[in-house]
Amino acid sequence: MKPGERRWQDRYLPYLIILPALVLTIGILYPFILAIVYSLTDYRLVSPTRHFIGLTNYLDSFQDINFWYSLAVTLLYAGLTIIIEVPLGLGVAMLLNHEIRGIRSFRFILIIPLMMPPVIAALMWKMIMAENGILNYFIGLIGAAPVPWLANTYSLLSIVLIDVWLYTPFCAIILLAGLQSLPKEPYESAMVDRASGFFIFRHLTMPMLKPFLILAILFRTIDSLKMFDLVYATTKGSHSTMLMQVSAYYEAFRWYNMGKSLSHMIIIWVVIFIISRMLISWWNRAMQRATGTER
Amino acid sequence: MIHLRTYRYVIFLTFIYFLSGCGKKSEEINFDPSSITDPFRWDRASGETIKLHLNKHPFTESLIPTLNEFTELTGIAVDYSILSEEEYREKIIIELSSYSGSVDVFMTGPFTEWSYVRAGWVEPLEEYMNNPALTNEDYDLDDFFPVCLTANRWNGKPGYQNYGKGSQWAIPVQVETYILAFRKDWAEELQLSPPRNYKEYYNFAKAMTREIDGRRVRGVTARGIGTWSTIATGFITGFASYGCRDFDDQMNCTINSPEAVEFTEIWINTLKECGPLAWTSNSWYDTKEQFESGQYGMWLAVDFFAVGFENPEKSRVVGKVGYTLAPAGPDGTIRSNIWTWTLAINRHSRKKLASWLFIQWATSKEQLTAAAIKGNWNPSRRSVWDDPKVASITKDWDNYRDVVSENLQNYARVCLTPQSEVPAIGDRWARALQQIWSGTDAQVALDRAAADIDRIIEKSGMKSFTQ
Amino acid sequence: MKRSRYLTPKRQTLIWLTLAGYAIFALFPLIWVVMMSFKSHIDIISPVPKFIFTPSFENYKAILFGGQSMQYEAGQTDFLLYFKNSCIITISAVVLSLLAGVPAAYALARYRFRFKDDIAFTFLSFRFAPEIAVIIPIYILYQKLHLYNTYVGLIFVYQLITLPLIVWIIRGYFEDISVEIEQAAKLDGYSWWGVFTKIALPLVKPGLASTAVLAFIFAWNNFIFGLILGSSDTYPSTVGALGFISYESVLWGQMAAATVITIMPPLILAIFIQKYLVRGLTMGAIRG
Repeated sequence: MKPGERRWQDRYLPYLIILPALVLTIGILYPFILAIVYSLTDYRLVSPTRHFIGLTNYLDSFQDINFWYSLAVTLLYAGLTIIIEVPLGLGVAMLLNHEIRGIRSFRFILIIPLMMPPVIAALMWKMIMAENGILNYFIGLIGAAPVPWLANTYSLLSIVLIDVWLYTPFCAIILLAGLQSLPKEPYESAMVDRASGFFIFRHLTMPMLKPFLILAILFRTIDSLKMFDLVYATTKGSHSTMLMQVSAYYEAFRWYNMGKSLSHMIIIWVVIFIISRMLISWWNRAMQRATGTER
Repeated sequence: MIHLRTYRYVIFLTFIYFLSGCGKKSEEINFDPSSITDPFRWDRASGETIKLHLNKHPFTESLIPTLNEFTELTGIAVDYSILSEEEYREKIIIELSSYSGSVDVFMTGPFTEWSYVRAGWVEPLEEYMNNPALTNEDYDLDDFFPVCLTANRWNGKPGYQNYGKGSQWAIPVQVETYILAFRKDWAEELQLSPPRNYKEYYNFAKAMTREIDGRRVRGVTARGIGTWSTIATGFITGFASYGCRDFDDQMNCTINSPEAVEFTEIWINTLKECGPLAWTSNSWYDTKEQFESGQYGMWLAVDFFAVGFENPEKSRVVGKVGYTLAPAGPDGTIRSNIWTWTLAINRHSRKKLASWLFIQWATSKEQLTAAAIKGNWNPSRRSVWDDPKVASITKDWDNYRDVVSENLQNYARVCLTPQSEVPAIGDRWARALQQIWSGTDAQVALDRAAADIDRIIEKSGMKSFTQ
Repeated sequence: MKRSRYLTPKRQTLIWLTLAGYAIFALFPLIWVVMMSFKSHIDIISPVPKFIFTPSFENYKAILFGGQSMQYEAGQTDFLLYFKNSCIITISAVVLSLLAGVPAAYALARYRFRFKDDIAFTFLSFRFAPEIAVIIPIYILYQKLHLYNTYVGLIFVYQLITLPLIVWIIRGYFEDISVEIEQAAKLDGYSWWGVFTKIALPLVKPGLASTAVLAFIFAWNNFIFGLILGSSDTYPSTVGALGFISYESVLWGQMAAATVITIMPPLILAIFIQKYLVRGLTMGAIRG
């Protein structure tokens, strides 16, 4: 084999191998780019023509109080889900991190909610949270007044509850994997030194778990910011549950304003992009410190 | 490297822009109905196939089994697609906006027609209806309740004064009006007569909110989700009875006028104090189930939900429901909103003649009578309404028949101002109602909504609309 | 792992109690809905929830075989169609992603080339992109291309879910294989294809299978693509479950039965992939 030939192969082979996937990717990228282009037009489904209007959609969005409200609700939703799911998941993971007989089978129970389609889970909870539903029945048994779970005042919290039910196992599984991968030596030395449980937790466990925590936070944040299924199945987008993707859905498929809807989506996409980049680089650094290697 | 990549992206982007910048070509398939003059024949379009898009509804269910009769009569084959209502509303737009003639006949109704007409998706029907070469002599247009036909006429211009004028865009297959359904057994027990005006409405609801055998029952229920259907049903009926309008003659939004605020406050307060705890997530089926479960006292509802109320398999209030006209406004005006499911022809259909033959067959006296017997309520034709078999279905429903007849005769009209942005405006308005229910001051919430709605009207170009 | 020495019986019981509490929280909704699927309609809307009732299969019969269950209403007869759609779309999407993605993962794991990190990041970005941003243009595009409401159209869009997963996770598995084995094979005269099919693939088989199953589960559970880009012919069962809202009332019993049937495949498959779950959920970031 001539040296030239080998070089040609080495150089272009990877591209060839990756070609099918690339074709699919470009096929998906094309709509993304179209999304950006359309967001700069006044495209409405009910009108046959499109005009380029530059950044008008974005400016309108920034001036629209409903847009900011929707963004605030979305950020609040993401914040709430993280604050509840990560500690709860950590707690469950720590409980599961014991060598007790039968604990392995518990893991399956744990992941059942996670493996269900979110929209089906939301429907299930909708039936349970109905005014005459089983949840209010239990509440009635302890003497409290029935709660309008999905009415405006509580609906966001109720949907957060469904999210917690669905995704705490996600955090638990990741953190459990983290806990199980921790080296034993630091703990042994700490016990020799008679360190308190709390001290061990705060100064040994937490720092070493950091990469896993960040990863859980990363995925949950992004998914929460994008949440659509849960809201659509329960409240269809009431005032206090108008998350960004739901509002974009309304804007596009109920009010026919495609251009405007896409401008909302581009904005949330940018937000997601920035946050994910930040979290991923943070994770990289944490991994380096924790394991001494770069991913 | 980055330099090169950006350059490539720019080229790519420009290419995309040009591709997407070509507006859609709307090929209008020009068919001139008046060009046909020879005597009427059912098999004029024999050999064609038409595509129907239908909503899941008793009319659809009674229609499908009879389709082969149509094919035998006319030689036209029929393809159909059925979706449940929410999905149907969203998907029909896709079909129509593709300008491809992928649908020939579809179900619609007044408010949605307004959007579609403005978009140029609906074929006007007068020239078909009035051409004896295209419409068989037994069709009898006068047999339809006038309100049903009027509701589906529009000249394309926004404004209250433009209702019922202009082209006929669709033929109604059923009609719904709004009546007050209430628990007559509770009313007897409490020695109350059903409310005649909105003050009595509030008091009636309040009186009926009490404890029975340790269970809390409430006086009233209504739709509450944040979509236009919450507005366009019971609420708008009361709104119009109260003398309020959603837009003035110059298309300025007036949902925040003094009377409108007054009515909105009565409506919402009644619901807050005597209505469902989770009102803002009440879809129509939640509301219906609540009433049928026997725990609510009254509902300003779609009249034919009585079918469900009087169904022993599903309802716990069979025989206990009274029906009466909607309460009157302060000056005695009674109004009822109206909705008709209709059949319309896609303006870009390639099979307009076959489509019209289908519509006249499906809305003929025989077809609609059979449909009514199978549950398609209320009939849009007077002869069907008066047919003894049809009349006997409702004989056990208290005075349902009288109330609905009166509605159709005197009070029913579309209470929304014709404009093409009903979803966006209705949704915004419903959102304001939800805010008021959650505690916002009514005037403030409605002012904000009116401002947003004015903006929507302006953006849609309807203020300077000329067609 | 904490030492067993610290686990007094008291502590063990405490742990089990807490976990049991959590288990009740996790399982109760599911159990309740399963119960609902065996109840008749009037039992379901009873103001006092019924724990004791006579079970019946009428809901399952109605959705599987159609037929009148209540006056004026036909049961939801399309459920089998939706289930079939889910199967076709999901399996095809996973197969397509495997065919395109496994070689791609191999290329990303073994070779260095320009744009490698960019391409890898592009795959990852699909996981994080808001779906509606891509759905709207695709919706418009599909109308023109007549791909709206087609299996092909949906299978393609589902790549947004399955492809990143497969590429990133399988890449990790490939990276775990030591390079020496492959280099030895190359010295023996195998071409890259030989190394790939005879050495690399067999070594990642378990990981491959489990990732395929995981991709299946996530694709099966998807709702939004089918909702917007599909219609009555191609709705997957996740969308079909919402369709029990007929013009007169919600057929809760049938909806519950449909729910139970829809969640069966992912739940059953989940049993087999428990070990591989962590890697799957974190896109290969954690070698759990």
